[in-house]
Amino acid sequence: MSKFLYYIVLVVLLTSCTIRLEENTRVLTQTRVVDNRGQPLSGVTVKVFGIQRTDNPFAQLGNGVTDINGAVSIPSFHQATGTTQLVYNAAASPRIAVTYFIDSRVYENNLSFDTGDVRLLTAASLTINFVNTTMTQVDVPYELTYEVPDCRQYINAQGAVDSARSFCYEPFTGSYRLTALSTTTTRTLTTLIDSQVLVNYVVNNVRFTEVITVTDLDTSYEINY
Amino acid sequence: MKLIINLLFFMSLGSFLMAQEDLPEKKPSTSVPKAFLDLTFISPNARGDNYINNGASLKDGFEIELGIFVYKKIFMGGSLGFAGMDVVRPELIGNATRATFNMSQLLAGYRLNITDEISLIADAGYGWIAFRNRFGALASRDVYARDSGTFVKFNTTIDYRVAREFAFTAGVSYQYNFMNIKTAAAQQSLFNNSQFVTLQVGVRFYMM
Repeated sequence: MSKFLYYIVLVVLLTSCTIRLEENTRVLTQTRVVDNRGQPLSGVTVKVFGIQRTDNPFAQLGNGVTDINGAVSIPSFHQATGTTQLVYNAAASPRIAVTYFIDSRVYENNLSFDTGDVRLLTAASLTINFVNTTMTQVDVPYELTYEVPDCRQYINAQGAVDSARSFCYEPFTGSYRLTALSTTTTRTLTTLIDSQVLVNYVVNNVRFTEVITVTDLDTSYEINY
Repeated sequence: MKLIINLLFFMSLGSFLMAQEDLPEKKPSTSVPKAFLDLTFISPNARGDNYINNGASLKDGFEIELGIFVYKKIFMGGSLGFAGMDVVRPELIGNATRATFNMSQLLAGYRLNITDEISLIADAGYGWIAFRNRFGALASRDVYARDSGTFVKFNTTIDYRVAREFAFTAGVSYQYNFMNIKTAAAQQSLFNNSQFVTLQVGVRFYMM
């Protein structure tokens, strides 16, 4: 009896390590990649992965590279349940990877899905140097508001964006404080190129605002207080 | 090159078999056989505008065929074949890394004696083909997808009898696969068929 149970357990373990994709099926994912000005981006790699219980892909199911119009149609194998993950990546530039998590049931009707335009923006580094010119003020509260270089879209079974879970280059505001009695305090952040960073700080109960436009991949800016 | 190696292997095998036979039986016979069994190395090549020819490279395989003469030189039978393919352009057909496929077929044909030693066999058949596509899994999982279809196949082989019950064969076949793959309308025509032209060499055992 125990031997019988052993074989039953063995069979269950072996079959649980197998993922069988949908038989006799290929789905088509159509997408178009643009930059922050809406211009098409060619040469962007788009990979299709399959995800089941966790967020870790179990296999790559398809891939493609955008053409001169920024478009690509990707045939891929299909899993009827779970999530289909699209990862956009332009390896040749510091553009940000964009990830789509698509409910696989969205492919049921036409065996195809069109994501529409996907914005693939460029990350930029901004270094802000806070320079204490008086050497007397040691407590300067400040806020930084900037666009976060991260984009994840969740598409539900009806093909609509699940706004409760999705985010894409959204603004983030962080509160900080300069307390050290040092000449220069440096803060580096990663944001989007051609975006603006808002700095609000208070010195002697007077509120100051500075707007920094990030135009280069590496930008430095100095704030004297 | 692989075919040549296989051919040399079978030629040496044939020489060995002939050496085991008695001299009186060494001379080929023109008597009508009851059946034959083929063991064949196959080298399929994809043709046409379809997903296999555009995005995969077929690999050599093996086929076994049994034919039973039912009326004079007319025979009926069946075959089983196995081969594989590597995916070379996954962006066109999906990201499987490789596949194995098997073919089973019912067939009917005709045997024509050209000389005492040489005969020609032509047959046509209808069969079933199934691919098992394998993936380079990212996790420790065995991931696969199955494709299937039916096919019609036209086959011609020539055999050279070196003994009463043994012959070398070489041939060519054309196979049109009607694949069951469902996909978006824009690419359906690429996935609903595939075509093979197969070169083959092997040995044939006649049952007298």
